Amino acid sequence: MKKAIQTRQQLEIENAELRSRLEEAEETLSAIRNGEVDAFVVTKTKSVQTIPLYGTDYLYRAMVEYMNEGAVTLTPDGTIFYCNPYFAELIQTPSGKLIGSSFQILIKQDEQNAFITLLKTSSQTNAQVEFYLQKTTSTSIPVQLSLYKLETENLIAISMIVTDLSERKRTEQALQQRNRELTLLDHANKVITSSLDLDQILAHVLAELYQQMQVIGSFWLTDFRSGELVCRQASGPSGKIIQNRHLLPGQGISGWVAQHGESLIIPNATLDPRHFGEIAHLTGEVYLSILAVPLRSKKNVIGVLQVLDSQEGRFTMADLTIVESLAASAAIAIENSRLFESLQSELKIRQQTEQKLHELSITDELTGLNNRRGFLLLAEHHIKLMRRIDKTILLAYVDLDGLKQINDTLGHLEGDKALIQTAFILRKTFRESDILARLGGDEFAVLITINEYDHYQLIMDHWEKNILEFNTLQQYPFKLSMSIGILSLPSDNPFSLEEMLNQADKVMYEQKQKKKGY
Amino acid sequence: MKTKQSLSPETGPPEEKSAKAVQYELRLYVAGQTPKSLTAFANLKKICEEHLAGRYQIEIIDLLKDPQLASGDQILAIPTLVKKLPEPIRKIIGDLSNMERVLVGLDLHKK
Repeated sequence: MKKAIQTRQQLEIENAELRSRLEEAEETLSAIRNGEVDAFVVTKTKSVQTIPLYGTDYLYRAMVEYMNEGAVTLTPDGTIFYCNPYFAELIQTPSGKLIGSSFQILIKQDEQNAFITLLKTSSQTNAQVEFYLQKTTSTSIPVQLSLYKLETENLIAISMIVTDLSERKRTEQALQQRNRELTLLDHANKVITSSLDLDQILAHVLAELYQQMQVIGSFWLTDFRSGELVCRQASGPSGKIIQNRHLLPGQGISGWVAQHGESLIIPNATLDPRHFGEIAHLTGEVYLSILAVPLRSKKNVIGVLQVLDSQEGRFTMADLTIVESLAASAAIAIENSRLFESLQSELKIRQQTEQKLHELSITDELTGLNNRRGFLLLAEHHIKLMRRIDKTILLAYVDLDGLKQINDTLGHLEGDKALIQTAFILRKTFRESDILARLGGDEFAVLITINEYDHYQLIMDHWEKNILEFNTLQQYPFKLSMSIGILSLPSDNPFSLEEMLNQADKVMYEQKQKKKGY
Repeated sequence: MKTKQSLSPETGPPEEKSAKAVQYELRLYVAGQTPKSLTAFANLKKICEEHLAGRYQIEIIDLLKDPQLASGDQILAIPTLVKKLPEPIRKIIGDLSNMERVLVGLDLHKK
């Protein structure tokens, strides 16, 4: 009985378990029928797999279908298995025509082999390579291909993201262009601000223009007197030929620009009636594209910067902007240089005038000797020097005898001649290092530098000889006679120059009195 | 290695008046980010917040990443919710859109 009860209990437990499993199975079936499950767990011998049903990845598919990049699935040999609408639009071909075709025929011909190699070598890790897709026969699109090889038990495929690089390339090119422009402006401005030598500045600016834009140019400056344009600097093989050439007012493209104060872009100069072919004929070179901008200073046009290229339609508005900026800086340099040149010239004239005035202020106009003022200035300086080197100071005070008589009997003209000839004799007698002066009227002074080799008496003899010679020649209606007072003082004497002069004057007077017999 | 995420509420409302606070441990088996898996998770969160606020813990197991973890609870179809605690262990298959069925399965409503 007991055994029967136990068996019954066991059966009930087993039944309950079976019922539970049946319920679970029914629930599972019901869930499947209602579409509430989207994956199953499958156990194969020792491995367990989770298998999602078809359509459960539609979120991903939606993402791929609508994303803003191209998505392509390829078979290992490069056949297109799937592509999203973005890619079809990018390549301007319906996806229906793309699926089943080889991806490599979409690539630019010279890059196709590289793509085939990439397909063969791409692994599970991402490969990102840039190619050009052929959009039409004449245009291609730069793209980046990101490849990923999918390998499962039943499938090998290559998934690829196609990123359009057109915008990035355009931005890169624009940045590069901007960089070149900024470099050009920076270098040119450095040159412009570092020198006042106009030719140097203009030559450097043209060199920078060639370096950054590969174009030749020329600076034409206005001659304000004639209104002509003169080529101040030119680059290129014929630069030297056209330098210093003239254009008449309004002549040629540059002449027009100077007259109207407006920039010009000429795509083909040979078709423009304003083009002055003479210069081209001179150089033997043909430049089709011309870009000319006025050089302005305070609203005035002071010249033209002309830029040339042999290619037709070379210059754009962007080029115009950069050249106009350059022209603005160059105009400042030209004005500064001109200002500097005129300042230099004015300074030179002023210096010359000052020199002249200075000379006049210390020079006796009649004889050309120092006047009293000049003598005092020079002698003071000289005496200080004598004192420093401990040399004897020798001062001669000279009076021209009988000047009044010459004036009264022969006239003031002869009197002036007598004074001039006296000065001449003094110059003949003394050295350049000696300081000669006409103090005023008929009085002269000489500050004599004397060293150990000089002999005072020899100087005096030489002086007398010169006077005698003059009188012997009788070239003038008068004879010259001088009364001389010599003062010899050691360098450390306590007297001022004025005191020395007074002393010498006294000595001269004594000599004069002696001559008269007093 | 298990791939799971656990979720527990930080705060909860006061205990329900008719029972002492029983902690529910729930395990949701998913297969990556499939639509049904996402729906099941969203529905489960909603139900737990409404009926088990402050006394539940949800564990997410992704069988796409670790299929071996299915054997522990003998999972066949995905998504499946397993009530580990309080006992008895119950399984609910599907995206849990039928709230009545879910509440019955969790012993929160009578059949």
